[in-house]
Amino acid sequence: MEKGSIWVWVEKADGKVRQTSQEVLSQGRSMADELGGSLLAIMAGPVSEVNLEDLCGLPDQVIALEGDGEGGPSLIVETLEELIRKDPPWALLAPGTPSTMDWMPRLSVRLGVEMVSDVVGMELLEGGRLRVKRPVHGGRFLVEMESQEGGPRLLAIRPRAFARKTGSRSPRVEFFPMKARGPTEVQVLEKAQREKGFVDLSEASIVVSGGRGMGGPEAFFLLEELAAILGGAVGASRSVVDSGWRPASEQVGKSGRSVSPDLYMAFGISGAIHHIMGMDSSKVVVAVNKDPNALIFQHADLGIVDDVNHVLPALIEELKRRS
Amino acid sequence: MDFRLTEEQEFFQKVVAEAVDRMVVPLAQTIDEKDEFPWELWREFSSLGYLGLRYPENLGGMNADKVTCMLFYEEITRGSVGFAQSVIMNALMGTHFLYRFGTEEIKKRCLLPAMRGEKIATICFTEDQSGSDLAATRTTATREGDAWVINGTKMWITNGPICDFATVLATTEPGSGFKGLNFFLVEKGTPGFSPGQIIHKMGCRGTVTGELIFDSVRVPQENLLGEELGKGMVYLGEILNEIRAMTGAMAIGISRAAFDEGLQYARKRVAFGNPIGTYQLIRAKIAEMATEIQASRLMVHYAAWRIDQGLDCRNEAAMAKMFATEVCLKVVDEVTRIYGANGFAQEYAPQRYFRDARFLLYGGGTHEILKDFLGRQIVGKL
Amino acid sequence: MHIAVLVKTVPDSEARMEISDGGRGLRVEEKWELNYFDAIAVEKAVKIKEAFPQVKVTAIAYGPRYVLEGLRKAVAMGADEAVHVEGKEGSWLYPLRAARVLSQALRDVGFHLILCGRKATDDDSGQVGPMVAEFLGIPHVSWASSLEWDGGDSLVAVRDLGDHKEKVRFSLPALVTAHKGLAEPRVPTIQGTMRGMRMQPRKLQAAEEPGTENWKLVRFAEPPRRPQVRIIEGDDPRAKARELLRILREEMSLL
Repeated sequence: MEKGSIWVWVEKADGKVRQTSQEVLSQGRSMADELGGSLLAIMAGPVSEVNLEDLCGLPDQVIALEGDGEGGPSLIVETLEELIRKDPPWALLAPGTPSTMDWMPRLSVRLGVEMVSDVVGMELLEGGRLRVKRPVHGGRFLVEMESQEGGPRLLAIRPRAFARKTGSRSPRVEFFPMKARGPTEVQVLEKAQREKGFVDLSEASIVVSGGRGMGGPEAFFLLEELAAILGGAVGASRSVVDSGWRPASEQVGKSGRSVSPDLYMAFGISGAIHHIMGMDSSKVVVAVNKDPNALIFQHADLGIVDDVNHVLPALIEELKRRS
Repeated sequence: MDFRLTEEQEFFQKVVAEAVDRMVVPLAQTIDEKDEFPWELWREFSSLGYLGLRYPENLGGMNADKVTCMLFYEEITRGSVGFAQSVIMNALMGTHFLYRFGTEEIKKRCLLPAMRGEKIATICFTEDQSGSDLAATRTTATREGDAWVINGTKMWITNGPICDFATVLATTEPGSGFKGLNFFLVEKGTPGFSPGQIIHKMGCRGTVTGELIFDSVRVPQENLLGEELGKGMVYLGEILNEIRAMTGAMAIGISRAAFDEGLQYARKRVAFGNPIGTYQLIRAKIAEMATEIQASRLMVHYAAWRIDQGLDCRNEAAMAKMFATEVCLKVVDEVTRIYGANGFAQEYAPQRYFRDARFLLYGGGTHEILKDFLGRQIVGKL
Repeated sequence: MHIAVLVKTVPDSEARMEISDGGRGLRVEEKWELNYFDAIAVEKAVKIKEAFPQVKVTAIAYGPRYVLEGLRKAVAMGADEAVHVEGKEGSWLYPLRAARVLSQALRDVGFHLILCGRKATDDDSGQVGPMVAEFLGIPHVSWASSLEWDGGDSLVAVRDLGDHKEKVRFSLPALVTAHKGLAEPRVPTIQGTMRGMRMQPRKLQAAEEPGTENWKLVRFAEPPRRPQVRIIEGDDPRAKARELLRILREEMSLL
């Protein structure tokens, strides 16, 4: 194991390198630099020139896994296990998405090494000790863990936990065959991508969310408009999803998605704890609610006490005027 | 002395509490505002079978001990007082005498469906001229051949106007006081049996309360619920303590609902730059309420425990009912004060608890009667 | 056919928690509930049993005594049997160890299909499901929001992952992790509650594992608190909207 060799798993969507992977590459680069080691990016499927550009000049080397398509989790586990046993990295980082969380835990079992998921902070201490921080209990607490000797450090990183940066390296690319068959395969029958321009909640830098205070499902058209203008994603509170106003995939909170955007705007959301758990790590929170005692104001940076149905149209109009 | 609930009782309470939180609580305000019987909720909730909890498993119940019953009464009342009154009527007073004395036919026709909420039950004591003074009951039951003919009017009957059957207190010997009192089963559809005026109440809205009219209602011999004539009061005595403790449990349910609201509000409402829960006077109110609710609970559970042990508990049940009720009236008052002006607004829950709590003063025995009873018991015969 | 459901018991949302022991511990009020996503898994298993009466459902939990709460709830909802693998306090934070123990229990108990929640709301890690599948050498499907029979040993599941939806086919034996939408957890009937009250779980002992401690707990900490909210005053919503945008642009460099 080369001291300080950091591997980063890079994901693609629609043939393009995903933003979450760029975030992890950036953090990987920082770590490699601090340890005096190298950064290796691993990608599955065909690698284009654009893909290499999208690595932002960060890695020293790229391993492109060749095979049919992008490989399911079992193929990825088989292939990574082989690569790791040949030459174990000091750490393997991956963006913490549902796809990577399908194979990293399985890899963890293969290697007999514990992994840490949903990492939001990392610190290298002297002696090469690595400390990582992750939220528990829906973000009410952070737990800090320190790596002990033995085995590559397996880490799944929370989307948007680290900032993207760029470098100036031109990595050399190597090819490696993806395993052809995994023992535990799942056959994908259909895959339906969302419409172009759809922004995934966990990756969005702006999330505009609505709760019961919106008054009804029609009011959410305004939120969709606001999201489109800002290039953000639409979120929803649990009661709104339970009432059928919005789909479950938009639910933010304890039993929905966790988001960490730069800007979270909560419209007509009361701020019950199970919702807060899903968005409290947002950088800036704006709350609009006509109840001045709403709990959401205790978790917001900026607030407007007013009817969302007055404020939302005003915001949209202002933004349209500006541009 | 082991004051703990058993693990089984705790689990039972938790499951019922969750059912109430999911099904009843979200509708409580609407039920109060509309003052209409929530048929859909009634069907959904009663189909779970908890209304039969007092009765044996082989009938579909769970043979619950009295402490477990108190937990049930407390949780359902915490959800909605009006709805709870209807539920508890089916679970206890409205069905008990059928279980105790009804023929197999009567049980099949009335008791079993009532346990599943498919039929609505009620019990009738109160009349225009008699509430606490049961000996003055004027509803009569006269023997005619092998049937009984019932005449009279009952008032303040919970579930009355919508009931499928009623247990009616009537005298077979007018003028002889307690000795003539008996319970009769009257079913909907019997000629002469009809609902009268509905009472529009200040609280416990959502349950339908009103008059029941008996105009030469003819019922067969087996509808006399009792082994012997004239033992009506004795039979009532068998469950009177349970009814009193149950009322105490309802009081705890209302107290808890109000207290939880008050506590939440104290934590989030800001005045003079701080949440009001940081101020001593508010803390004092919270402390006093918590202490008294705790005391109520111990008294009610103790009375229920004594019933389970087969120990006499006329005093303990009366005390528990009185104490828990007085505490509840204080709690609902204090919580509206903690809410300030918002305690006066229909948009917030405290005013609902404030209105609902008043019924506790007469349900299960007025405090004047109870204090007189207790006083006599304790002082003794002079 | 045998369905095994892995159930975790987690602190109830009202339970008070505070950091203790100089940061090394977390003191949690003794109020427990069945993990929300595991309740969905239990419900799905029970629904399958109701559709196919030969199906048997066993709920399995690992941990100290408090995990009996989750098992009781699973039985009350309709699980036929409960299995309790006794474990120490603190196991909630170590998925690999829990997965190893649970896999051994699953081998003992037997299974055709394993269901569990896609994550537990205490550690939020979502690792145990896939890890158990790997220990047992079976395929797994995560984030399932629907699960249907496709004849024989074949199952079809739908996964709704936010940015895309997919439909997958796989064969038993397999493990599926439940996401919202797979089933709506029922409120137990009185009969169910009685069964839960009377539950006598089968007890299993976890084999002594040489602890693989690749990660050591350093401490718990509270996340940084937000300063008090700045309310934008005024009566005119349009003026307030304008001011909000100004602050976001000029003071916070957003937008």
